[in-house]
Amino acid sequence: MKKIWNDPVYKSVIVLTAICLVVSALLAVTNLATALVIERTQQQAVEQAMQEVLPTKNGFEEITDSLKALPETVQSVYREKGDAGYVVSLATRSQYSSADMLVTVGIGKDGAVCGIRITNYAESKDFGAQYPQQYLGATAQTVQAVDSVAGVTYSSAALNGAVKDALTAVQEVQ
Amino acid sequence: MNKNYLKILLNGLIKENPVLVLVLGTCPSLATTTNVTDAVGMGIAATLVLICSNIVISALRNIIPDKVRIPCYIVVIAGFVTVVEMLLHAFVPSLYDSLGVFLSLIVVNCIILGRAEMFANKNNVVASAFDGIGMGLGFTLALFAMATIREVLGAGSFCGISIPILRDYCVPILRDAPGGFFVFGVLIAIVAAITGKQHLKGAGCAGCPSAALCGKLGNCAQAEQSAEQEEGTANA
Repeated sequence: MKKIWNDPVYKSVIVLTAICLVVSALLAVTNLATALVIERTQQQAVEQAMQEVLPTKNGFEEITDSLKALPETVQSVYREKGDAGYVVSLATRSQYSSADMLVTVGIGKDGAVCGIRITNYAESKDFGAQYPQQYLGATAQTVQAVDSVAGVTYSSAALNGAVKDALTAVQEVQ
Repeated sequence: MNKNYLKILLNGLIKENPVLVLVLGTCPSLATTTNVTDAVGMGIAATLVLICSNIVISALRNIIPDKVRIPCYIVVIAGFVTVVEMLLHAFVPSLYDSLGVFLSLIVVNCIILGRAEMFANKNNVVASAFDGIGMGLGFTLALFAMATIREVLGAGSFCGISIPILRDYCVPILRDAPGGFFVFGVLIAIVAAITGKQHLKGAGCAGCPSAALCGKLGNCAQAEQSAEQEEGTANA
């Protein structure tokens, strides 16, 4: 054992592996403590976003049928109880970071986007505030025409794909 | 408190300020100082990572083999950054959202890796912890000063609260990249004037605030001499 420890190559491998294992354990413990809180916070953000993209006093009901046939970015589809429209919650990964971009899209009775909000996004700072508003009024026919933002092309394309998927999902469940 | 520890703690504030004297961590300094809240949040997050990584690296300095020290440091630093990121995501989501990708980029912040290499792996745990606190406070102070100037004069507000009169006469370019560089340069000049470092131009290794701690291990004269010789050979 002492011979192995004195060999610089073995020692380097053992020390680096041990540090990686300890750090992984630390991350696992932190994840255990924070995962539920993060999930709850994101759920609250989605609920708040639903009210913002399609304001209503009637509340929403989740559509659970036919979700398998929908694009895979679609996480859930809600129908406004007063039949004013739909809200689609999506998660897309077509961007640089591994974290999800979570998008909530409100679609009115006429099939056009009436509200959009990004609830989780950790890249370009100002992208989430202004750019999504360009999709207001977009329909399945016109969504492709919304331009990307130079310098944020991956995120723009991901958002465009998400809105397109939301419109497709609503057409499917109607 | 031991006088040496106090000296280490105070060094990071002005004399060896990581941003305004050592000119490390320039990227987050420019990117997160458009408003005071983000700047202070960034400073606190980096300080926590700096203190924890300095302590761990100093404690393991006799165990980590020299050849794999940088990968080991990166794993330790990345671990602490991810912990801080998860905690902010869970408990301060607004700050997590506004810092965005710069939070993850603390992993490659030169201040943290620089202090691990220059200080923590040569000093004991307590001294390294004090160095982490001092450097972290120095970083936070520099970001706070830059953000205050940029937000107050560039947006006419402080911590998002609008300031009457100033909001009508603000200079928006100060919030953009050129304004950031301008404020950065002015602050470096002010700190140089306060600490009397103007004479250091062209002074080589001797003028470096970290000369005693750098990788040359105090052999600055030799390093300078060999650099001059290389330069002479190149010119010939």
